[in-house]
Amino acid sequence: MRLVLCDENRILCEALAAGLKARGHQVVGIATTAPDGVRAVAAHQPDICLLDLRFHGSPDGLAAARTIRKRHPGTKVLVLSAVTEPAIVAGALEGGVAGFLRKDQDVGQIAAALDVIAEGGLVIDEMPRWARNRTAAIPREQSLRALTPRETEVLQRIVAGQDTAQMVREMEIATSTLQTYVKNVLAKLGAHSRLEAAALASRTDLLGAPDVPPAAPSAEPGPRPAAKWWSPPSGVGEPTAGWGFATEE
Amino acid sequence: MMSQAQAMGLRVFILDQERTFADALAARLEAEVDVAVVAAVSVKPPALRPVVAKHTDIVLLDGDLPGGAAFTFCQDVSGRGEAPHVIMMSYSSEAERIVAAVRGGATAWVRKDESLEHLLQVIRGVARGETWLPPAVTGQVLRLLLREREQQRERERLLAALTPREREVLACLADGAGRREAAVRLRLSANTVRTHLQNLMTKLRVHSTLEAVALIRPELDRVSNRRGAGW
Repeated sequence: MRLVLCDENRILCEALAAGLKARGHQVVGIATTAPDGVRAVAAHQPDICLLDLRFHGSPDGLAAARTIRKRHPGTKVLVLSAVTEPAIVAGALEGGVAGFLRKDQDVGQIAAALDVIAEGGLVIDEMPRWARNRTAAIPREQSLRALTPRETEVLQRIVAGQDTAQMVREMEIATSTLQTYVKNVLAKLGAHSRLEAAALASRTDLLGAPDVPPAAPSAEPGPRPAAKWWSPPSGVGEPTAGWGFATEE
Repeated sequence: MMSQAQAMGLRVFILDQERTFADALAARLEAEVDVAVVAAVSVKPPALRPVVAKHTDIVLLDGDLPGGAAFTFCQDVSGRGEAPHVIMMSYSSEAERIVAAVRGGATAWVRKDESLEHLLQVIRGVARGETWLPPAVTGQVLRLLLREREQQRERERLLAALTPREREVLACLADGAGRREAAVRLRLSANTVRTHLQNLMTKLRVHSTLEAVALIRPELDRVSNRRGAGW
């Protein structure tokens, strides 16, 4: 993946560039101010721009994120920032960034996040409840990109209240195949149960008008957004805790 | 034959509140043949003071730790025997903060918007015994340090003018004792304490005991630090 790194901390940019290069990525530009970051994106047209939001004594990264998304739709923005102020995180998400990571991820985790984003996914690490609710404002195309057509159909059927037997029958697939689809849908939505997935899909208008007629009353809306999640490392100075999707049903 | 230290290269300990930075920097420094990263630790306040690994040559310390924790930490590390060199890393470079770092025992200050190449230069320079400060503020840092030195001399001079008894009284007050308490501790009468106080305030040219304590506090702290024990 071709990357532009934009962070006031040049030492971080250069060190991170080395780490990402070792993992097969190509860093085509480094910038230490937000305007320079926008210029670097314009000049190199990277696949992804890693962008901090905080720049001392100069314009913040929020405007830069929006500008990049608007002028260079081919470049996705992954925010990597220590900033956790509610308004700023929400603003970034609404501005169409493909991910928001705090600066407590190690290089391997960042590389993994880049892979998810490259596949069209959305990456957000653990954030306070208010931020989760704000992610509902993410345009549905962006969240749904990660679902395959078959998974989308399964989600539609879940929303419609169909049970496993019904779906197996109508979709003419094996039960185990269906279970794999369901598992993937839940993982991609970050939902713990079908009920939660249904609630999410309805609340965030993920699917638009349903093709399958509703069959069951809708569930209580859950707090989780239509986004991929992982748990950040919990302790201080602990060895890398791997990240994974919440998949338990 | 090379000693183990030479074989390993410079042993660097990284401490930064941003894990991403600590981790990426550690990986990058490891690529240098003459540098070995002992540990890369990320701390978030309020955290325990991390123990710097033994046999560390250089500590790369986050100068922006909240609550001035970096300066306290720097002092702790630098106060030991065979103390490692501390390089402060920060997003900014205000002279006052650099002075605090230097006073805490830091040997270098590197802005985080410098290049990695510069950081490596500083690491190698510091290992040779050099001191590195951002050139733009070096003059100001030196002036502040000199002024501090003058103030310290002035305090020493004032303190020297006091009699041993007056110093004891002042020490009691600095410790938070009231006049009566000071009298009890020093086994003096309240009147005698009052006389000592009046005399020492005249000598220090101050008008209140609080002022006297404030004036002399840095010197008392310095002396008590040097003894390595509290009051």
